[in-house]
Amino acid sequence: MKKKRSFIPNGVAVYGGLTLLLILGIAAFVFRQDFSGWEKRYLADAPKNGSLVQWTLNDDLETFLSDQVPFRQQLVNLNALAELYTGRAVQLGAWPVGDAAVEKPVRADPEVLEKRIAAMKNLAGDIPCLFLIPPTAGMLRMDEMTAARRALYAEESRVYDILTSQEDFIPLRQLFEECPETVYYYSDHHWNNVGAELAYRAYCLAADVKAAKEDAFTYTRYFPFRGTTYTRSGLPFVREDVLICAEPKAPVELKVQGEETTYDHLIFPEKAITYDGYEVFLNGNHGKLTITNPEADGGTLVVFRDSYASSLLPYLSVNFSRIIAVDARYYTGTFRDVLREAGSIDRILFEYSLDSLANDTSLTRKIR
Amino acid sequence: MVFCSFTFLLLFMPAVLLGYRFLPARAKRPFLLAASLVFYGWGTPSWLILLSYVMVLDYAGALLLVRIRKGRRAMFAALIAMNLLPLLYFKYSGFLQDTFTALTGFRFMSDSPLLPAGISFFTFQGISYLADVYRGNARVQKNFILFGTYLSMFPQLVAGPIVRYTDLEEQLEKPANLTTADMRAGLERFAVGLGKKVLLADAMGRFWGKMSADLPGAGIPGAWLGLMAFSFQIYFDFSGYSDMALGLGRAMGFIFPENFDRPYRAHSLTEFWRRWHMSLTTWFREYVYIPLGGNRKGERRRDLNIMIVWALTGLWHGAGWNFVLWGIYFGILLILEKKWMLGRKKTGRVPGWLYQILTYLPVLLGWGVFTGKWQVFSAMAGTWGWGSAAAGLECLSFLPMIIICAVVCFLPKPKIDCRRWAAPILMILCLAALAAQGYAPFVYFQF
Repeated sequence: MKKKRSFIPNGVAVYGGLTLLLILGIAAFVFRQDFSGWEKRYLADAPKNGSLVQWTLNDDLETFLSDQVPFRQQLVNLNALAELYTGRAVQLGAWPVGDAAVEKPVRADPEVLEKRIAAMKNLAGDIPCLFLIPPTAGMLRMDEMTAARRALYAEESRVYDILTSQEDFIPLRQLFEECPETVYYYSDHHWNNVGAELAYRAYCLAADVKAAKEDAFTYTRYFPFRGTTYTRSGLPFVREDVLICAEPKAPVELKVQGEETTYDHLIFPEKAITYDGYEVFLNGNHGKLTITNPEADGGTLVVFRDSYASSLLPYLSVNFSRIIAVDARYYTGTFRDVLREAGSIDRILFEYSLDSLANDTSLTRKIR
Repeated sequence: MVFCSFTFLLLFMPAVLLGYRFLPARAKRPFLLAASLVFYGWGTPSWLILLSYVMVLDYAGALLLVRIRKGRRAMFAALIAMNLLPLLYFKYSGFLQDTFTALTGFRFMSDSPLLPAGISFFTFQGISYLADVYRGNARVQKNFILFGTYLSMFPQLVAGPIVRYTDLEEQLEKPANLTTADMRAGLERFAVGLGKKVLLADAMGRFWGKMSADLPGAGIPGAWLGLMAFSFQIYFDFSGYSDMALGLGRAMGFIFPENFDRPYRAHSLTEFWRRWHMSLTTWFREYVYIPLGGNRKGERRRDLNIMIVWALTGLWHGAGWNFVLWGIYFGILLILEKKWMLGRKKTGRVPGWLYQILTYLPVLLGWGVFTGKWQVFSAMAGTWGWGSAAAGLECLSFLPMIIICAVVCFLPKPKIDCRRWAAPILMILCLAALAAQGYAPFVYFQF
């Protein structure tokens, strides 16, 4: 029988291969990390003595190795590419569109939306209120998708259009679609500074407030930024973003509920280099925060919001002497409590993504 | 422990294979036995008690069988019963309980026990050893280490192939010189098996999982493609495991019998079962069908024997009526095929691929019975139309993988042996898939 020839001798292939595998296994213990920045989560620690006592060593060790295996990010990237190039892009946590990754289509039950909107309007009572619902990045880039994927976004798009065609909803979609610049990050589901500024100007127009000019802000750039859709997709070619942050030149103060410190800035550069660069705005997510600007004359604005508003609030702070922003996911009280405690309120803004508005369970209890 | 886990791939396998390679010959078997026990007891150490029970029972039972003259038959029957008892308790007590409760409304057990991995495999290996010793086909093994190594050898312990003692006797007693070429060939086969499991079977499993979760939504294409995906999943899962077992065995100098021979290329159901899980088919033929009389006692008795064997085969695969039905379904089809099809000569007018399809179709429908998801037949028949857009997108997205699987299953084996360069690539891709998705247990562990 003819012997197989190989460029790599058998000994090198066998012993080298097995040793390499063993080194990878041992390296997981030696070079273990507590936190994975690109995945934005804490990693499993090595199994403790308790694992043996509780007979969970198998699962604990597997979880540990799976989290700590060397080159994990490259391996996840490789797997994402394998999924993509075998046609299974839909299996990824976020879908690639060009050099961006966008969130999967949102499932929104129109009945739930209707109930929540009614409850919010009821909550606002006589106070003038507006709704700001950002269109999703996927919805805006449907033209670049295959027919099958477009069909899935079509439903989300239909629900969005019906919802935002109502009175008191700020029209954003057309504005975003007609904007020559990219309004969303490539690697994150949020709007970028262009999107936030467009939303700000649209709000001012709808609320009959004079929008500040660009020279009312200082712009700072932070690079690179890779957000949640990059993490979820795992695709290495998703473009790195530049975080451009607008900080009002006016003397603003930020007070976060539950914290002693009062900050004299809304942008936190130190957060730009952490695992979640988006926390550069307002120092991350908070249940309730208050921004004051003694130079503004717009009175008090209460914003019930999700994370999209983090980059919008610095713009709004130029116009309102007091902004109270509440995030239902982290705020323990009800929205009525907020309104009662706020005293005099001039306007209310409900800023929610379609996903938050339809599926955030914390909203149901808080808008009653 | 499972093969497709980081614990196995990055720690256990390299450590054991390197250790086994460099240990002196006399230490190899005890080392392998110890490694196998660690492998088996890793997740649930209490299962070692069960494995040890079967090991000691069969070792001592065989020694007794060759020593006593009177009552050998009764002794043999008792040993078989004692082998089957744990299997009956762990695997079938829940099934018996459910059936009994459905008939009488009375429950005699509160909970079903947790099924130990591979119990069906090592029990059948033990029985085959006792039967071979009883019938004089095998010499009794007096060395407990060697016998223990045979019964618990980790490559094939939990999911086969079911290796008969006579296949390994000589290899255990007179180990062949282990070469790096053997080790390399074994590791290459292991990588191919791992690729089948992690890259193909798991992908197909995910698709079938999605379709079977909402069969009305899946519609006609979702149900057909979903069931096809399941047929590929179960094939790649099990044949992948067999490849890994054979590969690891070879990397340690053992040659196990082949378990799969591209079964979806079969031209008849009889041929399909000669190519699918060959070690189980052989086991049932040797230890059930032939002792029952085989085809030596007339056609009626042969048909009855076939039905018994297939009902048992179904039951071996799982404790549920769907598995029994699945076995009976194949029993009936095989009898019909024997009566009307196999005797006839192929005319040559019918192309081979048509025979392949005509064989695959009943096998596919059989998998529908096997899954126990009866709605799949309604969905395939079009009861719920063409399904939802979301299911359509899933079908489209998995179509390339389904086509890849179909090509691997249905087309002839490529003439170029690409294992040498494919193995490292498959290994890296598998590590990538495991890093991304965690580890998934083998389907065949439940059997």
